[in-house]
Amino acid sequence: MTTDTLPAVDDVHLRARIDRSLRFPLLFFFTSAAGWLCLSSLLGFVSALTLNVPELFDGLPYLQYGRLYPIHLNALVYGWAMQAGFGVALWLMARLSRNVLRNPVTLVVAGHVWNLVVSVGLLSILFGWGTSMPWLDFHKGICPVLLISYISIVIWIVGMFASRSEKSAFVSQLYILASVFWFPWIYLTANGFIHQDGGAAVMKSAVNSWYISNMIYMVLAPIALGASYYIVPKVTGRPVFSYALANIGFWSLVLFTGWTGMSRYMGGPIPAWLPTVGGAASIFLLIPALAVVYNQVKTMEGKLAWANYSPALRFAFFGSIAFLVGVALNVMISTLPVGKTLQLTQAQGGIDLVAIYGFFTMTMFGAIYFIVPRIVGCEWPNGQMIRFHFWFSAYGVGAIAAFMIFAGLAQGHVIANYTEEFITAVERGKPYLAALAIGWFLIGLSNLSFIAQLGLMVIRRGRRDDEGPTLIHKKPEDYFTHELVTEKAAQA
Amino acid sequence: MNEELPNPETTHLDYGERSSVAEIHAAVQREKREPLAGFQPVSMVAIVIAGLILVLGGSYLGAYNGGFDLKRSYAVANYEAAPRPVIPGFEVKVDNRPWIDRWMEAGKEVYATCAACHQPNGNGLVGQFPPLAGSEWVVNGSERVGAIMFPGILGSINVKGQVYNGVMPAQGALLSDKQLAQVMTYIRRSWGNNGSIVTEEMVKYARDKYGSRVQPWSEAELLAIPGDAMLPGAEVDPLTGLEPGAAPAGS
Repeated sequence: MTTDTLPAVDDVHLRARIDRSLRFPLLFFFTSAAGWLCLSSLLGFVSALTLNVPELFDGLPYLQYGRLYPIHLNALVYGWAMQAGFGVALWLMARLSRNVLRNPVTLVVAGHVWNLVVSVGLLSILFGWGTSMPWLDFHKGICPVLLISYISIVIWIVGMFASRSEKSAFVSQLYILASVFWFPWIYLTANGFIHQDGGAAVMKSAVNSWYISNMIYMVLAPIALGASYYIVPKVTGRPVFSYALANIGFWSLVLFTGWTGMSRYMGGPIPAWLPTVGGAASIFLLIPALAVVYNQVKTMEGKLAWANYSPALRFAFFGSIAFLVGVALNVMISTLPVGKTLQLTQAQGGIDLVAIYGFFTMTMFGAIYFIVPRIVGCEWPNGQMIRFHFWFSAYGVGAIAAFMIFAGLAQGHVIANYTEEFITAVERGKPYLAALAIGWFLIGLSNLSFIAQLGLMVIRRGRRDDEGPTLIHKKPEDYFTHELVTEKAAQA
Repeated sequence: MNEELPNPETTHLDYGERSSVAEIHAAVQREKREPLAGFQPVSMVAIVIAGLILVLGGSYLGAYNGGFDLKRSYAVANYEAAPRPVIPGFEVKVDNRPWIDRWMEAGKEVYATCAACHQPNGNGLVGQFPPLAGSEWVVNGSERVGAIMFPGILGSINVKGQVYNGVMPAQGALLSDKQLAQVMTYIRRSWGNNGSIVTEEMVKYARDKYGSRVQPWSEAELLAIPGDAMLPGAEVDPLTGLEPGAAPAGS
C-alpha cells in the first residue's frame, strides 16, 4: 500500500482554512469542557470521600452525597462529554465534508448558551430541585432549553454535511450524524415519559435506564468511534482496513442500541421481557464492538508500536479497547447469570465509567491532542505531561472499574437475598469505596495536567521550534528505517 | 477574541501565525490525506463469530422472555416470590375472620345511630323506646324490618306485650344499602336474636319497594305485611359473604 504520500498543496490550503474557521468555536468547547471535567473530577473525589466518611459534612445539605454525586455525573456528561463531543464532531464533519464553517460567531454564542443552561441545571441540583433520575437530574424546566440549545449547536454539523463537496460519506460522518439525531429523540422521549403526570412509577425508572444506555452507546460512543475511525487511518497513513466491516459495525450499533438499557431492572416489577430484550441487545452489541476493534487493529497492523509515540493514536487506541471491554462488562451485568448478582450494586457505576471515561473520554483526549495543534498553530508544550495524563487517567479509571466490580460481587449476594438487612450489603461494599476516592484523585491530577497544557495552547504558549510534533516518548534516533523516514513527520 | 470570519483570500496573521505557508501549518502540512476506506471483504470467521453472537443473544431472549406477557415480571422457571417485606409502622393488616363477623362489626358501627333510643344493649327504655332484643318485629321476617327503615313509624305499636307511642324516624335516606344491610343484620343477630342475614341485594329490593313512601307506617299497615315475609335475595355463606358455591374472590 503506497498511501503514505504527502497531500497536494491545495488540500493543505483547504485544511488550513477549515481549521482556521473552526478555531474559536473549538477552543471554546474544548476549554469549557475541560473546565467541567476538572470540576467533575473534583466532585467525584469529594463525593467518594463522603461515601467513605458519611459524617464528613454533617449539617451541610449542599455537600451531601445525594447532591454531590448527581452534580459530578451531570457535569461529566453535559459539561464535559457533550461539549468535547461538539468540538470533535464539528471538526471531523468539517474536515470530512471539505467544508469551511461559515458562522463561527453564532456557534460560540450557542456554546455560551449551552454552558449557561448546564450551569443552571447543576445549580438546580445543588439547591435540591433535582429530579433524582440518574443522568436526568436537572430540574424539569431545564429540559426544553437544553434541547433547543443542543439543536442550535448540532444544526451546523448537519448543515456542513448537507453542503459537503466530497459526495461519498466516510464512516465517521455516519457515526456523527447518528449521534446528533439520536440525542433529541431519546432526550425528548425520556423527559416526556418521566415528567408526565401519572404513568407507572416503576416504568419511569426503566425508561431512565433506557436513556442512560442510549446516551452511552448511541450519543457518546458514535462520536468517539467516528474520531478513532479518523485518527487511526490518519496517523498511520493507511486506509481503514475494511469498509464493509466498518459498515457492519455502524449499522449493528444503530440497530441494537435502542433495545438496551432496561436490563438494569431485571427481576424488578416490570414485564419480564423488557429486561430480557435489553440483555439480549447488550449481547448483540458485541458485534459492533468486535467489528470496530478488529478493523482498527488491522488498520494499524505492523504500526501498532506507533501508539507508543503518537498521543492521539495512543488515547484513541486505548479508547477502542476500552469500548470492547465496556461492552463485554455490560453483557455481564445485563444478563441473568452474573447480572443477578451485580445489578443494583456499585458495579453498575464502575462499568458505566469504563464506557464514559475509559472509552469516550480517552478517545476525546486523543482527538483533542490531534486537533488543537492544527487550529492554534503550535505544538503541545510537553510530551511528558501527556504521558502523565495518559497513565494517571488509565490507572484511575482502571482502579475504579476493577474495585467497583469487586464491591459489586461482595454486595450482590446480600442484596439478592431478602432475608439479609440492606445495611449489611452497604457494609460489604464499603472497604472498596476507598479505591473510588483514590481513582478520582488520580483522574483529577491527570486532568489538571491536561487543562494546564490546553491553557498554554490557548494563550499561544505552545512549542514553536522545528522539532516536529510533540510525542509521548522521544523516538530513538535509529528507530526509523529508511522507508520510515518520511513517516517521521507524519505523527501527532 | 478576534472572531472575524475567515477569508480565504487573505492570510490572517492573528494567533501567532507567521506569513510563510511552509511554516504556518506544520501540523496541517505533515498530515496524511483524509482517510479512505479499504475494501477488504469481511472474512468468513468474522461472519461466523457474528452469527454465534446472534445465536447467543437470541437464545437468551428465547429462554427468559416470560412469554412476552405484559403482566409477568419474572422469567425464570421455579420462580418463587419473596414474602411481602415487613416494614415497622407499615404492617398491612389482613383480616382473616369470617365474613359474617366483619359484617356484624360494621353493622355495630352503624348501630351507633340507633343506640341513642334503642340503647347499646338493644333493650330500649321502658315506656319510651321499644326494645330490639327479642322483638317479634325484628327477628321474624326481614321484610317488616326493611319496610320500617324507609318512612319510619308514627303512632302506637305493641312490642313484646307493651304499647309504645312515639316516632321512629326514617333511615333510608341517610344510610346506604350496604350500611342498612349491615345494621339490619346486626339487630337481627345480636342480644340473643337469631334472625337471618340481610344482604345489600335484599335492601335494594326494599328500597325499590318502599323507598318512595313518604307517609310513616302505622301498626295496622305494618301488620298487613306477613310476619314471616322475607326480603327476596340470594342467601350467602357466613364464612365468605358469597353465594354458596361461588368461587372465592382473589382479594
